[in-house]
Amino acid sequence: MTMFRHLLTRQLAEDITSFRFQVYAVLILASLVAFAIIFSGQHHGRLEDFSRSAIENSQHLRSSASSLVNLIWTKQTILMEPQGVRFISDGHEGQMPQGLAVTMLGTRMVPEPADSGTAMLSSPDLTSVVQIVFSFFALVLTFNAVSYEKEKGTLRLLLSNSVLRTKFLLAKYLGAVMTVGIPFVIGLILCLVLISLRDIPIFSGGVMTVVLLFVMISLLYLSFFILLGLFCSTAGRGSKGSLVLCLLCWVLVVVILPKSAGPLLHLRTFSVPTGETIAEEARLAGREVWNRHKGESIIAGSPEADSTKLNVKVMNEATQAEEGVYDHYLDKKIRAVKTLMAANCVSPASLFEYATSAAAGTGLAHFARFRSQVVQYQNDLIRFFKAQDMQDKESPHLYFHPDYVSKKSFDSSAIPEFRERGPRLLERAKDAAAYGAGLILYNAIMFGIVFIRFQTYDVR
Amino acid sequence: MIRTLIRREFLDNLLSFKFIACVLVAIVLTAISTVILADNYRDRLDDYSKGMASAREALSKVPAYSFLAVNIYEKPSTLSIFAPGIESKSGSFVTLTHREIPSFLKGGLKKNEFASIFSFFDLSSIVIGIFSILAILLAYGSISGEKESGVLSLALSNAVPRAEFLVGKYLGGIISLAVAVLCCFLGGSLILLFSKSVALEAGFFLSFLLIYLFSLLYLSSVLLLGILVSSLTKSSFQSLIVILAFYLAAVFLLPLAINSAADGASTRKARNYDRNIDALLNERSASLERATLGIPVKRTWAFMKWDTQTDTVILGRLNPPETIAHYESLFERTEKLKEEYALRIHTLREEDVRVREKIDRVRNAVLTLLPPSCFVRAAELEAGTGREAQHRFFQQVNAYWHQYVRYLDEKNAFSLSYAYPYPRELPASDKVLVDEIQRVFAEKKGPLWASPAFGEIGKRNKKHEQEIRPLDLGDMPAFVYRRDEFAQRLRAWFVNVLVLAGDNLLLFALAYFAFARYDPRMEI
Repeated sequence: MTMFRHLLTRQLAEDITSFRFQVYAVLILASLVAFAIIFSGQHHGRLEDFSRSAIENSQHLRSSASSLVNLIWTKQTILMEPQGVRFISDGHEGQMPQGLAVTMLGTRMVPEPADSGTAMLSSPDLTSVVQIVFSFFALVLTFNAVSYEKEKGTLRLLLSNSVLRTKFLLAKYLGAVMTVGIPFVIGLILCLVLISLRDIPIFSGGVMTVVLLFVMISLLYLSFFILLGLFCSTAGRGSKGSLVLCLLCWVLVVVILPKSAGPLLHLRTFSVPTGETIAEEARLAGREVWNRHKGESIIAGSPEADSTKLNVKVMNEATQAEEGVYDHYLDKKIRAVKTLMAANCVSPASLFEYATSAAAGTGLAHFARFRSQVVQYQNDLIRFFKAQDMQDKESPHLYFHPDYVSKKSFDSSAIPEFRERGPRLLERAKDAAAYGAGLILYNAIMFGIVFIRFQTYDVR
Repeated sequence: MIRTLIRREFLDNLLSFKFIACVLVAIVLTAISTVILADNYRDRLDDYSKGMASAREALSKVPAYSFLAVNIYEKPSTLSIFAPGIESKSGSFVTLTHREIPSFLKGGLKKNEFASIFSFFDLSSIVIGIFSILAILLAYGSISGEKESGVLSLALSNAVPRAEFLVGKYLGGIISLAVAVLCCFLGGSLILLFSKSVALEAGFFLSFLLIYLFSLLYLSSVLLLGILVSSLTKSSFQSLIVILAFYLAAVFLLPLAINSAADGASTRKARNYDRNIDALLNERSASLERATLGIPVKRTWAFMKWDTQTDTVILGRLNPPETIAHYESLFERTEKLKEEYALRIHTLREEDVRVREKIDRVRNAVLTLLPPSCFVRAAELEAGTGREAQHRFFQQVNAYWHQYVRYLDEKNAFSLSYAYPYPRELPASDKVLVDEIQRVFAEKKGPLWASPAFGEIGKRNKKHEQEIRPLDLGDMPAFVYRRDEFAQRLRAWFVNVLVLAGDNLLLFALAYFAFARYDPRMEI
């Protein structure tokens, strides 16, 4: 054990005093500080937008729902709340629909901001720094870990001094993990302090658990690259060969592979029609419901008449059919993106990105959560509407035909308003766990390869 | 002597593991990317020709001016296969009416709102991803590595002037890179040549050649940076560490930071703009309401097909004369008002665009200083797939809008015929029906629809609708999209190329000075 500890401290001391460590530590800290500053500026802007839109929406809701019947059509524009955890992982929220336009009976997407990103790959968040810079750093740190010792001759010396190969390898691995960990922890703390100094509440329980999850996922991700570096270092012919191998692997894993699934979206299985076509299809679906009842007597007349009741029923069915078309395509779009995300997971870099985004509850997960909350809210609205309508003795209570519900004014301040709730820790952890498991798998495979490779490594 | 140096360097590079590995990976990736992006291009071209055909067909079936809307499609550029820019990500057409000057592209292949999570690698990202790494690998040991192996002191003691040694190193490197990149570009264009249904436009090869030269200019600056750093450091390992740090910063970190900062600034401005647009839209609906109220109208019944979503309307043939008279003066006012507001909103939008352009200019100026971004922008400007090209498209659409509105004026389109494609005089048999309904309406005896004449009018109106002859729009001005001429494109990317060349010169001079003072002795 003492031998192992000795190996580890030797490794650590060597790494930390090395030139590469200094260069990359500076690069990393500088970029983290810059990103923290840029992010806080952006976040304040987004918060401002969000609260203004929320106020406008609330005013609009009160003013246009002057009588109960108007509540049926009153359209609310509900935006997703910008979260501070987007600094940890943005999850491409800037390039997604901003929220939903909601009426009591349906939802439509609110398109992303007009100027969303200049075809940017990522956002200034911690995830992209870890994904790109730290992974590179991990490789630079380890690409010649073994081959250099061999070239220097120390490898033979060490191994002939009855140091087990396994221990040597483990010391190399743990040493690198710690060396990468030091700027990581310092940078993380620095960022969080910087951001909280700019009035973004980040030191709360919820955010801290996200940070914790993020640290764990990042360590898994970086550990993969350290193992990859160790592998290249035993695979290449000499330091130079392993360097070429390392750089190519890095470009493939971090730059090329995460971009490879995009074109699959054009496959027939995933393709969806344009917004205009969807609207047309929905209209036809509604009309189709009416056509089905063509021969029957469905003329609305007195509230008690059966034909009126049938008319209202058909009207509701038609609305449902229309909304069903929109929901179907929205589901299909999300499913397509999720499938492709799974396909993208051949690259640990994508796995990492999706894991952190799931842990932070941003991106697609945020939208899905937001959407289900909006649906709940619609139900609340309907319940409220019916309760109000019940109080009106003259109303025939035939929902949701505008002619057969209460037209009286009501206390519009009592209309329930939408409040977005954050994700539960368990939900987030569960989402992240699947991706995390993928990362663990990659680590295990890589570790196995490195281990076997090093056991048969010719140290001469 | 210098020829020997170059040949030695070139052969050394060509046969090295790094060279072969990088070129192989790059060729495979180029092939994949070309096949897929060409496929995507074909899809878009298909969309384009289908759209054009349906737009033509739609124009031949316009029943009345209120239904007139011109769909203008942007033709995809073949070069978007190699430098996609924003072309494949944005929509493909605009809809132009007198009510709105288009400001955003609709449709296109981007139908899934969540798809922006994914992007795809193209030739320029292969140049930046793989060939930059190759250039770095070729350069990092050029001086310090030769020192370590002892070759440097040998060569210099053999009366090889330092300048020649440096030039030999540089030229050997850049020739190897030129060969490597050429393999990829040739591979890509061969795939295009042999793939069916991608017809190459005239001038394609000139643009392609230019993009090739831009990439060489960029790679040469990476190479020179490598040589410079290599002649400033003691060991090849040190120089590698430093160059790779530069690479990370220039390719990923700095563009990300600059773009985010610029986007943030741009969105801040956009907020004011959105508010102003909203205000203007409110004002528009208020004035429309006033315009409608301003006309004393005897309330009467009317038959019409009204679509509020597209703002289109057809009045029924069997309307009473009062209704017809009412709409005759109404359209003239409302549609002119809509036109006026379209122009005002556009002016406001122009202001916003100008502000954003100012921010973009700063952003681009800063990005130009980073060789990778400078190269990508130059390639996009030549390919005409970037933001600038899109902006120019909208400028042309705007010019066309004025032509279009003038045409409507000439045709007196906002008179009654705007929504009433029938002769003014009613046939006698129809007139009887109308009079009958008028009477029921005036006497208010029970609901209007209870009168049998009402149902009859509805039926006849439907029949009349089928008899409408489409408008003859043969003399309507057509939109012709003019892509930038070579001279215009040259003016656009000239600065970028100049900066890249300047980078090269500066780096070369610095490398020369650094190498002149370099201590070639091996450390013992």
